Amino acid sequence: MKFVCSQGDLNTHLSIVSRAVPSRPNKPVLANILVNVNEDSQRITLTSFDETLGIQTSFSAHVDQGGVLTVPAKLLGDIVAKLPPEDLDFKQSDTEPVISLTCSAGEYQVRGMEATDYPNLPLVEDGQVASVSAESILEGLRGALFATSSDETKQVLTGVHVVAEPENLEFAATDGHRLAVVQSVDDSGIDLSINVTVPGKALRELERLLQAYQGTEAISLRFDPTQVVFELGHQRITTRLLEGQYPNYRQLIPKQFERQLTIDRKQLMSALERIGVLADQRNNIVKLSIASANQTLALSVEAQEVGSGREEMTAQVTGDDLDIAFNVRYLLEGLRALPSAEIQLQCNSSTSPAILTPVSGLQMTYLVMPVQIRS
Amino acid sequence: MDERKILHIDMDAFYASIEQRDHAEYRHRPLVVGGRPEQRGAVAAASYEARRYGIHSAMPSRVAVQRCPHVIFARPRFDVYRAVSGQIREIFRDYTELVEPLSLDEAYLDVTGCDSAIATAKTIKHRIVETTQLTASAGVSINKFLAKIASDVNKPDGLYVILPEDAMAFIATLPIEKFHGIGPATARKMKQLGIESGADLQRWSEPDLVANFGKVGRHYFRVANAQDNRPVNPNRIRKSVGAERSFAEDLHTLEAMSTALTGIVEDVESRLLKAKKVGYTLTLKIKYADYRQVTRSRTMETPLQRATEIGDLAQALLEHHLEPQPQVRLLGVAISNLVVLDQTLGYQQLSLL
Repeated sequence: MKFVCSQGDLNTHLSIVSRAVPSRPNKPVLANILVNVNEDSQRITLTSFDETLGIQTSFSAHVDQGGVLTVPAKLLGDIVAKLPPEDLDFKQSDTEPVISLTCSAGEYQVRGMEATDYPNLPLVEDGQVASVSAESILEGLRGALFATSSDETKQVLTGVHVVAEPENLEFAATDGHRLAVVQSVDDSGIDLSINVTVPGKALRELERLLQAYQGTEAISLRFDPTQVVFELGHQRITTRLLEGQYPNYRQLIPKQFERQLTIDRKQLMSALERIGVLADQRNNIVKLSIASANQTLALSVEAQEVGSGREEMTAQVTGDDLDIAFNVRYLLEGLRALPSAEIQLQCNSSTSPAILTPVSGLQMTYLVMPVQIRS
Repeated sequence: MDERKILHIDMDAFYASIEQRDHAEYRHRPLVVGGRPEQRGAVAAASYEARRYGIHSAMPSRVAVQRCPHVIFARPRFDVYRAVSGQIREIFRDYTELVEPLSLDEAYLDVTGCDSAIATAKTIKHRIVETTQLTASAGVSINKFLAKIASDVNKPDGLYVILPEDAMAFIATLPIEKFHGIGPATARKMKQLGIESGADLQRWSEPDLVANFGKVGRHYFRVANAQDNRPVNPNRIRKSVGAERSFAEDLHTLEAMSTALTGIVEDVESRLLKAKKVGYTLTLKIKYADYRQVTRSRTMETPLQRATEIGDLAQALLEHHLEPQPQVRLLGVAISNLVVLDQTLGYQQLSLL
């Protein structure tokens, strides 16, 4: 193995794969990344795998001689990150799994391990394939990922449920207190029927890659019953799917509402952020008072022994007056993800689900359970 | 600074004495309050007759029977013990508002306002016998540590006073294990440093103790030099509310453990209700047949209060952390990070699923 690559490329791609290097590996070799140097394609491919999530990325380099080796991810990453932006010379020792790096700063030898011990990434060679635009996936992730649960005892809720079927591509996430559902417009490349739950961790990595993705080609999603692979250009993310029955969330969304208001999204967000300063001191509870006679929405907070606050704004209100309380964080996270200038808030009572929807644009439904106030 | 007057009142073999009071046939006989050996019980209290056989509380009941085959086992009647405890606390409060109960059967009293601490202690002991037909031992001194040590000197039915001028000399005679805050591990470390008694400890400076034992070294210094200035705190904050059960036979199946958890969780809920508390953190305790114990905690965004939510979380933790082929002899659930119910005044984040 002998090649020359730029410090910038190597650093970027090392940091991409570093995110699937386990901090406590079950096998020592998994603390390494797999470096595959191909003379024919003049490319270097880096792979990391924590036995659930795998990331593969590649970039072009000047390759004199191909080869495969694994090297300690953190060690190489920390050295390369600190080097000046210039060309780096790599050469593997003829006798040992040691790679030497020469640059203007000096020379380093890093001991790796033979590639034969490194597991193969599960890449789903013969499963179902869907082709979706990067934009659609990003929309789905932006609208749903934040609503996943961080509670590891509820595994299936730590993921995003993806439904892909002709004329429908849907992303849904819930932590048991709120639910976000996004319906993507682009379903042209889907001629299959898939119903899976993808771990949030893998999707956060996917989101990161998609944000940096320059290509125009659609993203390929390969599924089999236990695994999904996302392919974007020269990069791949593979992850095990979450097992277990995902909640039947569609039936949780009420079909009819007695009360509805239309309101400016930014104005509501700003008010909630201010109110949230006080709410944050106690229990994060904000009370919404809907007044149809005045066509207003009032927000108020009572933080015992700290202070209280109240703001009022105009809104288009239909239905009877109602006081309803929420965790301010749940409201704000949902409002940030809703893309339109105006949003609709619909609800029935102070103890039943409320939903937020954009007035235009993306098809998204954000459902929040209120906080019950007993007197 | 004027010296404080602190009492430590400790009921004599409390649970066992109540059983002997209420059951004439148990009197003057070795008696243990606690679970029977075949139910894997432990000794909650032992009568003085039983203590002569080397039986003491927290000992497995199986061992108690080995030491004294004719020992009597009485089932605990905590409601009765609580009622008696209430009676003695009423008596304490006739003398001072500063009463700090340590458990059902012992308490610190700050009686600095009384003319004579010794006379007060005698009167309290007398009134306890009159009201409950039970005896207590009292310690009288200038701080909590010395008062507690003193109550132990002439047990049962004792009264012992450590005067301010005798305090240093008395402390000097104590073995290191007797000191407040020094458990077996610290005692071992102290002995490695040549500290065997109070006299040894008194020779150490505060900075040296802090250097060797960390912040708690300051507390050791104060206790050893009769400067234990901890106040008698009538509002001792309860840190957790919990319940646990050990099983007559080890549990092997998740179903059996779930059933057991349901009962435990109901106990926790009723204790929380009684204490008017809710808490953010749940801790599940699993003890295996080989006595290995694991605890696993989870902290929630909104306080836990109801048996259903506590149960769901405990169950999830159990399923997540239970080892394969388990043999479980004890399960426990505790709620901590407690807040008074009023502070969250009936707020509850409603659930979707």
